[in-house]
Amino acid sequence: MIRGNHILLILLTISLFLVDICTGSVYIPLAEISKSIFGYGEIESHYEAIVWLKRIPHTFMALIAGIGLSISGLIMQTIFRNPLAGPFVLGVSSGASFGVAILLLGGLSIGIGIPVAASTGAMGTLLLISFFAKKINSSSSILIIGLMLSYFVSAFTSFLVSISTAEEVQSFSLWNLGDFSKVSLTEIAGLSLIVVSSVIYFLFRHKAYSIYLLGDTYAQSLGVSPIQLRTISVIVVGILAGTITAYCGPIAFVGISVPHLARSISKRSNHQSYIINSIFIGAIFMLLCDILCENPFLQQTLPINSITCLFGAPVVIWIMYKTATPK
Amino acid sequence: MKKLSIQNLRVGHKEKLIHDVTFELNEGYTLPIIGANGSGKTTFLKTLTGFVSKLAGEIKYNDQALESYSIQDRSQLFAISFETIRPPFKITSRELIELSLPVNQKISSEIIEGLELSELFNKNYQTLSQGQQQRINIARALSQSTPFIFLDEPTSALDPPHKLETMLFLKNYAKAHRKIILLSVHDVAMAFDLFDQLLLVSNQKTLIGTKVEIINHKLFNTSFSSTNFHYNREINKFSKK
Repeated sequence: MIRGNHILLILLTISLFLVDICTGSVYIPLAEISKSIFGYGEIESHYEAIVWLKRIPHTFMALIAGIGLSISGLIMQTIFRNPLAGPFVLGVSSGASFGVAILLLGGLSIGIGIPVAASTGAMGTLLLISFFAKKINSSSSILIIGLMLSYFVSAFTSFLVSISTAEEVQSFSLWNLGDFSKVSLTEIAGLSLIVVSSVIYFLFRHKAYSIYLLGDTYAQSLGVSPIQLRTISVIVVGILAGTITAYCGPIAFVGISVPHLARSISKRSNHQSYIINSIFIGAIFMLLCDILCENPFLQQTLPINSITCLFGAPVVIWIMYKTATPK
Repeated sequence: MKKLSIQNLRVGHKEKLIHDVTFELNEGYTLPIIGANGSGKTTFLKTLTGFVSKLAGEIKYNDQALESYSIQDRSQLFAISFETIRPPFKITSRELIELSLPVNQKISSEIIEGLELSELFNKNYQTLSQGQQQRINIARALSQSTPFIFLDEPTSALDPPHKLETMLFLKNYAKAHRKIILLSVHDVAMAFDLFDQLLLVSNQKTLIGTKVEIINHKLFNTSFSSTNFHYNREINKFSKK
C-alpha cells in the first residue's frame, strides 16, 4: 500500500507543514519556533504564544481543510461520475454559507452551532444536485446547474445580509472571507476526528466506489447498491465539506482540481490509490497556497481563496479542454 | 444441480411485451434468444435478473424465487453484460475485469485465451473500439464466476470471425463449467448454425425449439421479414423475396 512515491509525498507534506508554521506576518527566528514547539531552553513567551495559539492551529487547519475538501471532491466526482464535480463548483459551499447565514443573520437562536448549520446547508444542495444528476447525462450541464444553484442560494444569502443589522453582518462577512486563523485547538481536534473517520469509511469501501464507476446496473450486479452508496456518500460529504466550510469559510477549487492530480499520479486505477493520493496532494496543495498567502515578502496576508482560484481555475479549464469532444 | 425455471412469466414495462413464458434450463446449457427489434429481448433479460419488475409469473433460481435473493446473493448467482460500460476515468481492461473477480481469484487463462484478450489487457479500456469493449465485458461477466450468465447482444459490434469465435467459446464454456448462459443475438443465421435449441420472441409470444421447429412456425415468419427481404431456408440466409 505504501510505496516509494508515498514516502516522497509524506516527506513533502511534513516539510511544507513546518515551513507553513514558520511563515506568518510576524517574523520569528527558526530557533525560537523550534524551542517553542519542543519546549527546551529559554523560551520567549510572546513567541511561544504566537506559535501555539496562532501558527500551529492555523497550519493544522490548512492541512485538515486541504485533505477534507480534496476527499470530498474525489467522492463527489465518483458519485456523480463526473470529472467536473466538487464542493465549491456544485454549490455545496454556497449551501453551507446559506446555512450559516440563516443561523447568524436570520435570528435563528436555536442552540445549533455553525458546523451543524453549514452541514445541513451543504447536504441540502448536494441532494438537489443529485436529483438533477439523475436526469442529466452531460457533465458540463451538471456543472452549469451547480453554478446556477450556487447563484440562487447566494441570492438568498445576500437578501439576508441586506436586511440584517451591521453587527450581525460583520460576524457573517468575517466568516465568509475564508480563513484558517479563527479555530481553536479543541475545534481542530473535533474536525480532525470528522476528517479521519470519513477517510476511514471511504477507504473501507474503496472497492465499492471503484465498482460504482461501472454504472448503476453493473454496480448492482456486483453486489453494490448504488442508491445506498450515493445516500451515505451525500451525508458524509455534506458533513465533511460543511464543517470545513463552517470553520474556514468557502474555499474554492481545491475539491475539484486535487482529485485530478491525485488520479494522474496513481499507478493503479482504484479508489485505494485515489484516496491516499488525494490526501497527500490535498495537504500539499493547501499548505503551499497558505504559505503563498502568508508570504513574508508581502505586507499583508492574502485571502486564501485568491490563491486557490489562481491555481485551481486553470486546472478546471484544462480538464474541460481535455475531455471535450471535437467540434 | 443448477436450474433456472420460469413459469407463466409476463414481461414488459407498462403495456405487456411478452406473456406466458414457461421453460426450464439445466446446467451446461446456452440458450440464444432471437427476435426482431423491439420484440422485448432486452426487457426479458432484465426481468430475469430483476432490473425490470416482472408483471406476473415466477422466476426461480435453483428452486428458489428470485425475490428471495438479496443484492449480495444475486451477485454470486448471476453475472450480466447489458449496455456498454463507460467508465468516466481512465482504467485498464485488466483492472476493469478484476473488479468483478471474487476475492483471492485471478483472471482465468482460459478466458484470456478464449476471447483473445492478452493484447488488450494493459490498454486503457476507454480507448478500445466498441467490439473490443464488448469482449472485455464478456470476460468480466465470466470472471464473476457465477452459475448463471445473461448477455444482451454480447457480440453485436464484433467482426464476423471474432463473433463466431466468441459464440463458440461461450457455448463450450457453459458446457465445460456447467454454467447456464442466456444471450440475445441479432445474427439469426449464425445462431441457427451454432446452437441446437433457440428461444424465439415474437408477437408477444415465445417459442423454444430447434432450428427446424422454429423456421416452420408461423411466429418466425411474422417476426423476421421486411418489405423486400425474408429468410431463405435453403441457404440459411436472409434474401430478397
